[in-house]
Amino acid sequence: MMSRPSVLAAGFHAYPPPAFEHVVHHHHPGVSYRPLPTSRPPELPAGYSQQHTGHHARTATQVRMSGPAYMASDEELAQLQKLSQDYQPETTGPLVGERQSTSALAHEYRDADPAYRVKTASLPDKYAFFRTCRGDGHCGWRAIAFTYFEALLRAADVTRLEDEHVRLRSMHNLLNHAGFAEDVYNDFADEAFELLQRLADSLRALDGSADAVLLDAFNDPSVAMSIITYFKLLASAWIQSHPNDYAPFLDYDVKTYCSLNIEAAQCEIDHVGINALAEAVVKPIGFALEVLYLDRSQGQGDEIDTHRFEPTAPNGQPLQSITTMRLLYRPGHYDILYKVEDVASPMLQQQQPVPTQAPLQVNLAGYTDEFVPMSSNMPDIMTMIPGLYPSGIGQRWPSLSYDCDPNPVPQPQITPVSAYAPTPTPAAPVASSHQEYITPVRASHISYHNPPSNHIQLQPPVNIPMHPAPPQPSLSIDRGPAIVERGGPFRPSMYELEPGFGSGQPHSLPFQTSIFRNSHYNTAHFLNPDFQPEEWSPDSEYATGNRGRHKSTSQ
Amino acid sequence: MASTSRPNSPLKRLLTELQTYQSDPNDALEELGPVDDNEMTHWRAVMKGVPGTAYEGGCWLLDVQIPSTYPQKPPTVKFVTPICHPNVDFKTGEICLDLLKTSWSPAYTITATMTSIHQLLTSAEPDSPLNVDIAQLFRQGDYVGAEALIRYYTETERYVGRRRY
Repeated sequence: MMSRPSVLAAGFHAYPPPAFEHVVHHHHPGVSYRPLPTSRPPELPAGYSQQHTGHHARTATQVRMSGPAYMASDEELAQLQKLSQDYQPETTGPLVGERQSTSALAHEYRDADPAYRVKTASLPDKYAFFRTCRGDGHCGWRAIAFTYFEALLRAADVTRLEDEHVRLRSMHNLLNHAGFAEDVYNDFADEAFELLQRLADSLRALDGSADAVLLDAFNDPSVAMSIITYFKLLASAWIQSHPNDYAPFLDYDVKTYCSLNIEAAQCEIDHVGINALAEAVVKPIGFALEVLYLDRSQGQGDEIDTHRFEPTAPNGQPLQSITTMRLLYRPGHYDILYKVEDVASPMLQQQQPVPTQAPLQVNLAGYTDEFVPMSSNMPDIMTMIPGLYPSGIGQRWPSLSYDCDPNPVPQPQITPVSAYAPTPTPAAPVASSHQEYITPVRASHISYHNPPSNHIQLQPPVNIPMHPAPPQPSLSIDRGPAIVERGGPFRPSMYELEPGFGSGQPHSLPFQTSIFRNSHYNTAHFLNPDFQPEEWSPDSEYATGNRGRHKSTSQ
Repeated sequence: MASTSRPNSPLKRLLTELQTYQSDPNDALEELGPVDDNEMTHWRAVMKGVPGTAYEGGCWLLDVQIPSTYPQKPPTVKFVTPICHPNVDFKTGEICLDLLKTSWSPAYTITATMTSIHQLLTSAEPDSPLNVDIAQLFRQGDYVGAEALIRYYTETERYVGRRRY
């Protein structure tokens, strides 16, 4: 490393410097991810002394000095060194860009090396969006700082933002201990706190501007650099307060390393810096940090190598539901990456109080283990009898509709809450609360015995023709038209009904031409939005001897 | 950073630094502060020599220009009083110190920078010289000659107050 011509190591930045790609990475024991290329300051000769900058081209040209030390090659080297040191890469684009589709990445690499092409082509399947950071040498720090605030916003919890303020402030002891002057770091910290405050205000006002506030702040050079500097100082203080964890991985002593590679105004983040930020800032709030390495490594086939910093609970156990911050690393540069479910508007995830939630859970607890008809639940069952207590059904309906559902709640009803959040629908806000009380049902249905008699008792009266339509409970209205009162998107199957129930109803449609039967207008056809599985009768299907149909079904 | 949206931010920081310096002066300095109360981004410093070295008894005026992007960018510090040092240009006063260039950190202050320059006096690096004459003496191991030359200039070029500035 040291013997490399120092010219190559200069230039602190940023968009794929080709030299970095071929740097031989040395693995440190215990560090499973690839050490990132560090822009090692070029001025580190053997017998390194921190204080001196490198050779000066001037010395060779201005000074009337001759000797073996000033050969032409040295002069050239010095000139190159100077050019390299003065080189400022042209950096364009916003400091932090708008979120965009990762298909743009695949497009960008369509003519590139096959390793890149394959990897970027598979990217949009898993990671729908990305966000650029300007490659000015701060991109890695900036990406982590930005995603940190963004992940905080995702929780849409004002208390959490306030807690973070308190927690960060409590880390100032570390800063003091590392020898940073309070007057100095407070200027940087205050920018971070002010941003937290503004985000909290925005959440409180429910004006939906929090994302814009965050983006604006990170595109204000002054604010952004202050926050980045604050994060750097936190990382430095963390490393210095845990010297035993980091010293084995460092080429210099901890203090020197931090001043050169963490605190310096112009230094790219390296793996030690990422680790320190993950430990100091990211993990303690239960966020995970993932770095995806989009490089030419052939580690796992077409998959992009990923390193994940996993947060743990205080007891050492892995946390259950965690927010993940994702970075996309390309040699020398970091951007921000998102999965679809990461991108949910805070408004959609806002927890809405659901008045009927409490009784639901009570009923559930009494029912899931074993169903014992008692005075508390008998009246509900009585209302199920057609014609009885028509007026009482409206009030009792919500509790019945969920807790007594003998079928597992269909999966699609739960996942879309976050997965489809980017295309918000009016029903979505309640859908997330919906999730809350559905989850226990799902968890318990495994041990649920489902005695046959329950089917009848629990059957909602929605299919009973002569029954007056029960007043729509509020829950059902909010859930939207696709969801029927029973708790799933499907109406009850006839097999769940009391034997003989609805026997008078014709289940097969009066006209049964083969064209109609095989069209999706037929409710027995799986493409029909009102698909009625029980109407489909294989016997009659094959009995008609329709060859075309037979062929298609036997595929 | 080409511009900063809040031009006042270096001023606030500089005022803080000035107050800190006044309550906790730097032993290496005779004085430190703005040249003019109306120009907070132009400071001057008077540095003392290091007892027990060839720089003993010396006194140098330094000029400190503070960019509008401070503290993200380092101040530009030059010796106004000539000093004989391998890493300081005798004529221009330019200082070869990585702290003033690549390894600048926003966590450093003006007074901390001055401390580093003061330490540079006793930890010269002749292999990356700005003053090749004195550097060559060091490289050839002529420490007696080097020390004599330094003492000579420390005495003759001594800064003696505002009259000379």
